[in-house]
Amino acid sequence: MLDEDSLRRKIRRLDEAVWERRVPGHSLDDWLNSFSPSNHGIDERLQMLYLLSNFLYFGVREIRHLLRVLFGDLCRGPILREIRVNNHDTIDLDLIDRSYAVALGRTRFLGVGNPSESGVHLLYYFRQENKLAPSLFINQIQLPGVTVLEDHGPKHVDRYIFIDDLCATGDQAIDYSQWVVQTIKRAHSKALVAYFPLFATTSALKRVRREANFDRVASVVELDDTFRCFADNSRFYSDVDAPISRDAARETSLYYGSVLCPRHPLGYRESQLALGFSHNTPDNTLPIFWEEPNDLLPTWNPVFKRYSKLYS
Amino acid sequence: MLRKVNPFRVTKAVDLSDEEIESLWINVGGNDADTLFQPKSLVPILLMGGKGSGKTHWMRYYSYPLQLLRHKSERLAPLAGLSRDGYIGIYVLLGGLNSERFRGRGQSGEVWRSLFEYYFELWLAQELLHILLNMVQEEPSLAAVEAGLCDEICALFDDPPHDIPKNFKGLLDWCANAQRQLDSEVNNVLFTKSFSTRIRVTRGKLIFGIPKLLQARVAELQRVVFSYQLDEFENISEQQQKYINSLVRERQAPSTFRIGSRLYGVKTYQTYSDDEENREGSEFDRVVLDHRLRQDQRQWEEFAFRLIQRRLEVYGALTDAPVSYDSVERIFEVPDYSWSGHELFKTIGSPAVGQAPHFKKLEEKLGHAMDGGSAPGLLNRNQLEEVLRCMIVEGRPLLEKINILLLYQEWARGHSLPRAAAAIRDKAAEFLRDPRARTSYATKVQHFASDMTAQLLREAGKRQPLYFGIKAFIRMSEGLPRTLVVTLKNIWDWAIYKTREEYIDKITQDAQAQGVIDSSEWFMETMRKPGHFGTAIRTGIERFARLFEGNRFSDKPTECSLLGFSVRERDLADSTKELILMAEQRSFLIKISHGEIDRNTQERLAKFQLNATLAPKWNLPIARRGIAPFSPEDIDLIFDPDRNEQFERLNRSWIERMTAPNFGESKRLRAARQSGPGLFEHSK
Repeated sequence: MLDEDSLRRKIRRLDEAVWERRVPGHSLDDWLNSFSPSNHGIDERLQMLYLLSNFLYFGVREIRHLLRVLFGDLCRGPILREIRVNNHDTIDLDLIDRSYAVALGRTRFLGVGNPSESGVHLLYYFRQENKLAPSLFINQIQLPGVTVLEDHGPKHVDRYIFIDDLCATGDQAIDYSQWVVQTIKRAHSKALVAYFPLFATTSALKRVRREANFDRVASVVELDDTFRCFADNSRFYSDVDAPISRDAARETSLYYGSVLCPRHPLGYRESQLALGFSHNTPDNTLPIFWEEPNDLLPTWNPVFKRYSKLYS
Repeated sequence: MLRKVNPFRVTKAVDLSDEEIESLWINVGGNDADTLFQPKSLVPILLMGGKGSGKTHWMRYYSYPLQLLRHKSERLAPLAGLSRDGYIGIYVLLGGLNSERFRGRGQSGEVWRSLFEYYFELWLAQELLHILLNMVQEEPSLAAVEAGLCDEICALFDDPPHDIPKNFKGLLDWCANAQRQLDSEVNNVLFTKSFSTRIRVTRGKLIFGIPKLLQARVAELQRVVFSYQLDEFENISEQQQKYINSLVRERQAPSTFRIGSRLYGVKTYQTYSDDEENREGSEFDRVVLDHRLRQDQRQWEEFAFRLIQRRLEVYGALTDAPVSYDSVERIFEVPDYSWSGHELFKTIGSPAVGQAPHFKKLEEKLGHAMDGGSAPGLLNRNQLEEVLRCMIVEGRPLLEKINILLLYQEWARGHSLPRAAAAIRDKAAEFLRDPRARTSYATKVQHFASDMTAQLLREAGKRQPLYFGIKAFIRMSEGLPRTLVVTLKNIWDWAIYKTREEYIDKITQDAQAQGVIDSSEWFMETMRKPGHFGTAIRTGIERFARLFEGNRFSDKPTECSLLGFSVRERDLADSTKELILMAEQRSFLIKISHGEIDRNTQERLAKFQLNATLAPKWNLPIARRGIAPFSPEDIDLIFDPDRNEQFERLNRSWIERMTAPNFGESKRLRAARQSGPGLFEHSK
């Protein structure tokens, strides 16, 4: 049977092994102190400890590795396949290497959003991990259609690859594509424009493929519905016995989420994720993990802090 | 206060540097280390001990690199130092041999035996040559005889090197090269099918010959014993052990051996000398480290404290200096859970008079039993409430639990509960008037305080174990230094993890509780034996723990602080005897007697207890008082993983014997006893 002690031990091990010591014991206590050990028969602390013990955290090491996978599987692999197909399935390594170098040189990598956002932040690691030349990385203002300069236009570039950390609902990717893809395509109709987030929900991938204008959309990690904390088929509650209860945890999350983040008490557009990265915690994650205190809950402490964007 | 560093981070002696081995060294029982290890004695010693009993630390401490460190600190030249010490320790880890390579792969056992013997000869010779090479740079007297010694050493070979090296370096290189070639042949024999190696030296010629030559040539070494310290004996095969046993048997002065092995590590005492066996007291002496530490509790406590003190000093963990016993004790938050203290009352939530969970439970039991006619002398609600009132000792929950225990004991005997309750109330009052008086009530408090405190906490929904403070951790470690170090490492890790401030004021109860549970789990994992036997041992240990837990948390525990069992060992199945021996060798069980005659039954019994490190996993006591007798058939059953249903039946009947209202008796008997309340009301 899971109890507070065993969950605390698991969380400490996670903190040391995976969470990059982001949740030392006193931070855990600070967070837990906001919950009641007995609220209308619910041991909120126990439910929240269990939920936290399932939190998916990706530290710098994991993100760097995933960026290598992203490049290998979604960028390099397809280019190599294309070269071989165009050359009668050649196994001539010299030809493949030469052609690949040319194709890579005609590829540009960008982050989704403006330079202050997480998609762009990942590019630095992406370049390091995949040993790519800085010249392959450009800003939005250097895209064809945005600038009159032709350095990164049809004469020199075939592919524009947009990299992001998470695509949970697809909202951002769709909004962004409407401007950026159309602009590129207007100036360079033959360009391939791809969107590759590290993580994406199955529903968001479908939606972006359907509603955005990217030529190719794929993620390294696909989060199906089982990753939603309180979904009927939630993986976190598929094999647990009382006193751990999905309903009790949902009730607790919803109650505090409503106070902390009334518009999205279970995460942006009810994403219900329990996911965090070393560089930030997405707002699709349950607010009970990341939201800051407010006037209604002034003593509240988040466990995985989120650095929110300020929209002016 | 404590700095946020973990002085117990390194838990294995092989991971310590020479300097750390030296600085963390603690003599057992003051200064009798030399008496134990006898480094100058030519009698070989088999140094045995459970995992983590300190064998490696001992053997490394008496090895040349450590001797050298000590000599340097005393400004002694190497030869003068060795002459003063009277011994030179040549330490090797047998695990480093990869000895499993020397078998199979289409080659006969004889071939492998010869190759291993040759390999071992070269290996130990190199260790000794390394030491000579190290010394020769600082010792002109050794340098003066170097070339001559090399000639003589080469003459020990049946087939000596063609170009006889004139210095230790050259000889070392030659031996290393010969070993490399042998390595290559051994590693590739599966493909090459045969060996081209020529064995160039007879068994023991170098191992015993080089020390003899050194003694003859170097004046300072004339009275020096050459002690080959072979660690991890358990890591080589039976045949290889037989070879080393042969060396032990055939040893020649001034060489001797110190062999370190786990308790289960010696696979054979046989030798190749006419298949004779080496015998303790004849060919070798034996020292069992953990037994030695366990035998004398005071000595273990003293040793353990000094070990802790040294770690704290060496790693600068405490802000106060010097590190005294008091300052170490003060590190830990230790609640006062004595009957007279107030912390227990607070911990269970300061319940209103007569409203604590233990009263609710008793009230429920009495109510049901009264309705079912199984509560002797209890006829109505008023009487029941009076019984409950008699149990009350305001603000002293531990005494209330003792009262309730006494009531259950009377109940089990079939005595009238109202009458018993009144007598218990009077005894408690008498105890409160003079707690020091030698009364049966005071004895009950003394014996059952631990069990009743554990019950109180569990009944109040507190899952807090009861192991706090340095004394408890030393006690729990059962004479195994590594267990103590790991326990403290875990506790320190928790304290560091949980502390916000730059310094740790005190290690909280919570950090201690979590740390001991981690250690308990670590112990279960690290000591386990793989395979079928391992499963059977684990099953047996877990079942004992469940039985003991059942006793501790029952209405009427048959034994107080139960952590051990006794059995007529000779009547056990052979397979069970073997499993118990293995459990003992892996320190899960500790034998606490060797066949004493039981006073009640006049039978010869063996007594064992569970290792107290495991106690937190089941909330068991760490200071053993009780020993439960089991039949050999029950012990056979407990160690048989395939007889789960039968064990569950045994467990049920075990618990029923301690549970009101029927206390394990047949219903008929109990009903007959309690057929009319008047019968017992008047029978006293």
